[in-house]
This record gives sequence, structure tokens and C-alpha cells, in this order.
Amino acid sequence: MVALNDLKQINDFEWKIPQTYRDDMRVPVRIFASQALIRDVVRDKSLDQAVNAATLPGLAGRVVVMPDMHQGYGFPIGGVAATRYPEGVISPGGIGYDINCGVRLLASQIPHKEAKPHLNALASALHQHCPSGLGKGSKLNLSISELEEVCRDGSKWALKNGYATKSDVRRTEDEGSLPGANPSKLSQRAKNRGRSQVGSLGSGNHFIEIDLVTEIFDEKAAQVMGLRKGHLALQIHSGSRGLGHQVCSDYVRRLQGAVQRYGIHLPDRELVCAPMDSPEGEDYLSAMRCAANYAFANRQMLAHFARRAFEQVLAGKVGSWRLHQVYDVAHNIGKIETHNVDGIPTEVCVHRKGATRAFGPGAEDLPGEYRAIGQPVLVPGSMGTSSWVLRGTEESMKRTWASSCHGAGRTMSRTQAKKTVWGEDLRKELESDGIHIRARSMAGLAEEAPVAYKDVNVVVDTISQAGIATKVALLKPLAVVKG
Amino acid sequence: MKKSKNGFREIEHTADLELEVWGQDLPSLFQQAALGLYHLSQIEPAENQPRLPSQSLQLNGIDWEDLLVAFLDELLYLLDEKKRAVDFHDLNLDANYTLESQGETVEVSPQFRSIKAVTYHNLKIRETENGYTTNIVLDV
Repeated sequence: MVALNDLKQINDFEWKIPQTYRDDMRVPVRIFASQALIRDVVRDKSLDQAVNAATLPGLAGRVVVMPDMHQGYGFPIGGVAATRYPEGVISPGGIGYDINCGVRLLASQIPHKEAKPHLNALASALHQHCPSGLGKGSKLNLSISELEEVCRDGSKWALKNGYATKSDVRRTEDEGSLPGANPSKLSQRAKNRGRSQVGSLGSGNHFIEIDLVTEIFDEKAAQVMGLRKGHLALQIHSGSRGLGHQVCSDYVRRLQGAVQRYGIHLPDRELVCAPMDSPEGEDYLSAMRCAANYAFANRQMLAHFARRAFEQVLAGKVGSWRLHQVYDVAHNIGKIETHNVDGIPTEVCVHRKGATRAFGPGAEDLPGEYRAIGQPVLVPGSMGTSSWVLRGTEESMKRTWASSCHGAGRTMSRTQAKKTVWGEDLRKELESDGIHIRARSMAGLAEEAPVAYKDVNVVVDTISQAGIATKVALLKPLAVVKG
Repeated sequence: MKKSKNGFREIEHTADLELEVWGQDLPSLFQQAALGLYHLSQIEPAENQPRLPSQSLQLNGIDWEDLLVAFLDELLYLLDEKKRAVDFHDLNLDANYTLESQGETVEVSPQFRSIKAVTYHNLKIRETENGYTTNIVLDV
């Protein structure tokens, strides 16, 4: 296992595993972490997994790992790797089973004072309007051809059908619609699983949360995003549901044979991959984009349902109950982007596995208002703790493939969390802190207990002190609907 | 503690779930992996369920590990999409990595825990004095 003394410290927040650490590494690994975080990290296998990721054919520059890293399967969670397009490989396991799992943030002009008496009713209405939990499908049951349209067009399908505003779409990564999505590359099973789940939260660590904007660190950026101190905001954390899981499972299996055909040797079978210009690589790219678009549409539907819940509870009781989109970001995805590699603009496929895109000011893919300040980076904390809104910087473009952290990051196993925390006690504790909880299962709640996660403030401090993203606003939870 | 001939247990993993599985032969190993998967899914049979038709299964892989993932993937799909669990008590494994079986099906309550996928992470079926053993990481 990688030990502390295998690492070379670059500065207070950056570490390096040199390429010489293992013979099969093609690039070095850079880790962003404070002293305290790095001591925690070497207890699990995240750094060994980062070294494994550094063996993929066609890698450019370096593999980067974020401070919220933890052990995953194949790639570490918090890992970012860029492969040269199109001759480099794409690895489904380096993107994950929940393709385009991500976060959406909506802001409001609802003052906390006015909303406070209605928060309990609001939590119930959200729980009722937004289907959550594994068994719960969506209110929609799409035909196969409608499902294919969702996969091709993502948020644009939602706009066409009255579930989105133009502003929602504009303020979504890639406008919620990745080009090159080809539904004929999805298995029948993937399509079937997708039909009944668009607009549902799912289980695990997925949630919808009403937040209070408690602190603003960057007045100008907060104003552009529409975030005001003392007002409510809403976060949605969900992904591509069973459709995405099926796409990843299908292609990880199919590529088991492809690596043999292309003579690719890997330290872990979960890293299976194929050159992006091979039939298998092209097919996965098309299928992955379908799942990504499905996830954008899914979060859009959830936002639509949340707006209904807000209207139902708050109409006539507060001045404005509108929710307007701040941004929607993916944190499990592969994207073709242009980055400087040895000073030359180069097309690469950035694999972000538990990492958020963090474009700095000037990036052409951002809507005008964000081109001026840099992309909003959404970092949800663990349940009951703070969440952060950051913005991307020029440094992230130079040092981390324009990527930042995606959350707090687990530090304790689910079994251990359940031994340490009793779900019902946790619910009472959160309720006594004034946080309204709606959860399907108390055991599920205990698995997601804050004690099982790192301190999100320490993670964000590391990111901001390293200069990868800067602080805009701090959010505190008022109500949580768990999947 | 002396292990029984066939069995499974949960292993600690920071974010996901891990199963250690052992069996006196390959079919037993596969069956124990299925039981472990159902155990971690926390499934319970639905009340007043009607009799369901039995489920037949034919799968192939490029090696035993690949076949094991295909088998468990199939069970996850039936659970997530059809809300069904299957008791494959009679598993036929062929030397060219194919699996054939027929199993009794029960409907389960939808209140089970979501397992997203079966991974190939460090997956290796090892031969031991008493049969076979492996560790499987499941994404949740």
C-alpha cells in the first residue's frame, strides 16, 4: 500500500506520487490534501487506486486526486484522469455506475423568517412530490421512443415538454444535453429500467435539501448567482438511476474482452477500457452520453416537482415562492475538453469520478454571466452539515484538469456507521437542531450519518487555499428528504 | 472460529459493500454469492404473494470471475426491475464458463437497499484446501 513516505510534498496542500513509484505507471499522481487529510487518506486504498488509474493507456499529464478522496473500486472517488482523444482510452469504471450523478442548486427570494413556520409542511410536500427510495419510480412512465428522446436531448427534452425554463437549461453544465448521445447503443434492459425512473431521487446518499444561505464570501459572484444571505435555497443530488447503472455494467462486461483484443494490461479488471476510436470505445461514449442526458433530465424533473411543492405550501404566504436555477453540475462523468498539455491545447477525455468540473473565468462553454466570474462549483456536505458554493479559477484550468472536489467524502464504512449511530437517535438529534428529516429507512439514515464523513469545511479550505476554487457562499440545511 | 463449508460474510469498505464468499465447489460459491447479495440488499418476501413462474437462466462468461459478475448482475436486474428474488438451488456450471439454472421466484417488498452494481474490482476466485473463495465489491 502507498505509505506517507512514498509521497513527495510539493507545498502545504499538494503532494506527489512520482511515476517511478511503480513500473506500470504512465504518469505521476498529484494529490490535493492538507496534512491532516493525507494522514486519514493513507488508511484506505484510495492512493493505490490512484496509482492503478495512472496506468491507463493514452494518459496525459497527471492523475489528480481531490481532498474528499476515498477508496472506491477501480478509480478512487475524487480521482481525475485525462486521456488523449481519440487514441487514448475511455474507462467506464473510471466514470462509475451512477453516470452523471450530480448536484443542482436553486436559489430563492424567500426570507427564512417568512418560511420558518412552513418548513415542516414544505419537507412533507417535497417528500410527497419527489419520488424517493429504490422501489419508487417516477410519476411518468415513458414509452421507449420517449425514453430515447430523453437520452438524446436531456434537459432540452424537459424544456420542450414544459418541465424546464430556458434559464434552467442555460444554467446547466453543457446545457443539460451532451451531443453524440446515441440510444441505439443502449441495451434493451437499460432502456426498460429508464422508462419508469425519470424524475425520481433514488436511494443511498441521494437527497433533496432545503438550505439557508448563512454566509456570503464573494458578494459579486453571489449576486450573479442569485444567492442572498438569509434566503432559502434548494439542492438536489441524484443521478441516472437504473439506466446509468445498467449502461456501466453492460460496458464493463463488454470491455473485459476488448482489453484482451487491444493488448491492454491492467492492474485491476474494474479499470477495463478501450481506445475512444475503437468500436467499443465509441459505443460506450455514445451510451454514456445517453445516461448523462438522462440524469440531467432527471434532476430537471425533480426541480420541477420541487417547484410544485413550494407553490403548494408557500403560495400566498410569502412574497415570491419561485426557485431559480444557480447551476447543475455532474460529478461522475467523462467529457471531451481542450486543455493545455505541455503548453499545447490538446483534446482530452477528462474522467471525473467524484469530482466536479470547475471552469475558471473566460471558459467559452459557460453562459455569459458565469464566463465573467467562473463556473459555480457545488459541494454538498454530509447530511446535517454545511454545503458550499465555490467558483472555478484559472488555477483549476492549469493544475487539476479544471476540476474540484464534490463533497465531504466518506471516512467510515457503512457497517461501522450503523454500529456507531442509531438512525432514530440521529433523526432526533437533527430535528433538535431544527432540521426536518424525511427518510425511508432509519438504517439508511444511520449509514449516511455525518460522523461517517470528513469535515466538508476542511475539504473546502484545502481547495480554496490551494487556489483551485474560491468560496462564494455557505449553506446550512433546514430540511432533508433522503432517498 | 471454524468456518462452515459454504458461506459469506460482509467485509468493511469505506464507501461501498464487500462480501467474502466461500464454497466447497464452484456452484456452492455462486450460490453463496447470491445469498450474500440478497442479505446485503436487506430483502424481505412480500406479504400474501401469488405463486410466480420459475425463472430460467442461461449465461456465459470469458472466465469464472466474469461469469460470477454476469450471474449477480442478473439477480440485481431482477430485483431492481421486477422486484423478484430467485432461489437457484440447482446451478449447472460448464467448463467453458456457461451457467444454466432454473429457480423458484419470490416477489419481494420494494423496501430493500439499493445495490447499484457488482464490480470486477480486484475480483479473483481462488482455490483453497476446502474449495473456492473470493471477495466481491458492490457499488451502493
